[in-house]
Amino acid sequence: MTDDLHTLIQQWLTMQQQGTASSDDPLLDWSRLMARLQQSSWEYLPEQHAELISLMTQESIEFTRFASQLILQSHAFQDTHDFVRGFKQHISQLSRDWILKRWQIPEQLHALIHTSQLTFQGLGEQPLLQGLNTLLESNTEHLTLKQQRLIREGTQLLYEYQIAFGQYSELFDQINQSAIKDLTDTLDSAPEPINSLKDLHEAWTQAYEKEYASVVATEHYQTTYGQISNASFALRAFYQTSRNEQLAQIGIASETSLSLAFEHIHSLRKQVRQLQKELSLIPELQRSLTELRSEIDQLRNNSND
Amino acid sequence: MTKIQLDAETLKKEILEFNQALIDSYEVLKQLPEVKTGQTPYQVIYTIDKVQLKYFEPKEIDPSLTPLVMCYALVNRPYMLDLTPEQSLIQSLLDQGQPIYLIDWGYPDASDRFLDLDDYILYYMDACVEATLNASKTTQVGLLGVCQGGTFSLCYTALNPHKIKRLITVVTPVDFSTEDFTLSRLVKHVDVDLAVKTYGNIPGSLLNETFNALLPMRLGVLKNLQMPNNLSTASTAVRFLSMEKWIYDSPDQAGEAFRSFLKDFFQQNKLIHKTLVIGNQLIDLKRIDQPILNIYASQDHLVPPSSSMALKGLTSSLNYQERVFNAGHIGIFVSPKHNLTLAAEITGWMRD
Repeated sequence: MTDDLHTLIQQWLTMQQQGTASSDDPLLDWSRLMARLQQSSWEYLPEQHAELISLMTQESIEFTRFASQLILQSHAFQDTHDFVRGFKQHISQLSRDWILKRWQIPEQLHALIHTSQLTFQGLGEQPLLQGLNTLLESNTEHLTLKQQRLIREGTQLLYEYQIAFGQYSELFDQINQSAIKDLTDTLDSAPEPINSLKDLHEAWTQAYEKEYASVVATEHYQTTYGQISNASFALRAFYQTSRNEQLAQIGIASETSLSLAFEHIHSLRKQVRQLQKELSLIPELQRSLTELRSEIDQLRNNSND
Repeated sequence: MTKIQLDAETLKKEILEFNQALIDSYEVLKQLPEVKTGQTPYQVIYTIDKVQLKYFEPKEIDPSLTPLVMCYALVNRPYMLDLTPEQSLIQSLLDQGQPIYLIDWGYPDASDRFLDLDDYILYYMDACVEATLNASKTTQVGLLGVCQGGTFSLCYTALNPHKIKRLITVVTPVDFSTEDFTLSRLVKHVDVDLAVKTYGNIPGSLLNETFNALLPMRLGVLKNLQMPNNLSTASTAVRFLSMEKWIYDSPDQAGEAFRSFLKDFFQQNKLIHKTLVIGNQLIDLKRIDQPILNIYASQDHLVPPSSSMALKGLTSSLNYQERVFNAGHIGIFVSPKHNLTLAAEITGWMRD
């Protein structure tokens, strides 16, 4: 952050604290300041510090946006339920962002979606599923058989990923809804009103985790979690295999060949270890053999006597 | 609104406080150098591939204490036991005269993709125990295992009972199918073979995301909201940064070892079913007759107490004892209050 920007942010905070800001909606300006802050160069800071600043700045933008929205709407809230509806939208957005980040698609596909007309939100929506179905059924005669097979396989895997993603998102929507209901009930029966956003988030976390824990314990959630995990792995594995095949075609060693070499090395090392173990026993065996020989000699001598 | 009293002025004030804290945090971070962890001096007395055996020598060795081998999990790094000088179980143990030999598994890379549990437990761990026996000139050592390292320690002791004098397991999963073992339930339908085929070594970041998924709100939204407060002073910032560094310093997991651990322990619970085989040898916990101290944390969201407590009755030990700490999976080690008590329990168990 430049000194200029720092001064500007401090000035803004002071003006707000003193109530001397002139704009009707000054909190929006904060978002702009934070956006500039995020674009600052943090090269002189340790990487960990720079990452935390970036994260907190993003958090500040979201927190300020949500609170500003509440300020604008605060006069319109008639009761707890009214407020909770607005809060639910905020939470749903956070959940969606989290799920999308958690179950990232392979980088190549990510780049494709990023540069196309599609949106990540579209991953869970019907039109994209329909589009994929059309692609699956489309005429691809101008491609080689292998290319046709790869396209069909890749599209099928993406289709399965989408289904799993949709089911997983649906479960999270259900968790959110139940948690919101739980939050509303808690608020209705609480002896003291909530009067800060931090307390509200704390109450929400408790309601959410209670609901989440009970859903995670169900077979349905575990199956859905397994499906999204496996679909995500399968999609990534497919792209890697395709890439490795292409590399092999132009004579470049891929991670598949490297992995095979490592497997052989590992197996050989185990064999060497086993041999070393057996070799280490030889001196002891030799000692035993010598002792046995001398005992036999002794016995022979005794019998000869 | 009857139960939510958030008027415009209160909200504005809260935003300002939050954003002021953010700028204050920036000022604190600007002054702080990169955090240092694991600062207690040690000597590397043995190395095998990427594994190191680190010796921590007390100023004055208490001769009544059995030398202690500490086996940490493959997941995350062992400097959690020596996070900062004020949050160091290792330092607390050294202060009591306990010689410590810590196994550091290192960071597996692509060449370690085929390391399996046989390699880790029967080869590396055994080599470290042998190196400790040589260095300490004793015939038996104490063994302390943390989390997955505790499970390894149980397997190792069952296969090499003559080398271990006393055993301590800390926040150790034993029964992987208890009702409240959320992590175990999460991975129940995960195709582990496909995961290993896809990634080779399992990325540490993937595991971190799975751990965070156990408490998504607390470890996500709420933690981020509290972050400016945690960074508001230099001392709280150092603690926070050290912990963050440790959390995200997660080594990749060797593919084959990960496959076996997930399938044999998490999905098939073979340790409990007495069908676990490592290096062609059946693991029979009844072969363990050493005194066992089983320590667990009542607030542990990763390894629930029910899983650790399942150890009772599975061994032949005539001296099996449990201790419970009112802490979480990590808090038991890093809370200055708990680590002193924990150190006292450990040395109490290692004393002849």
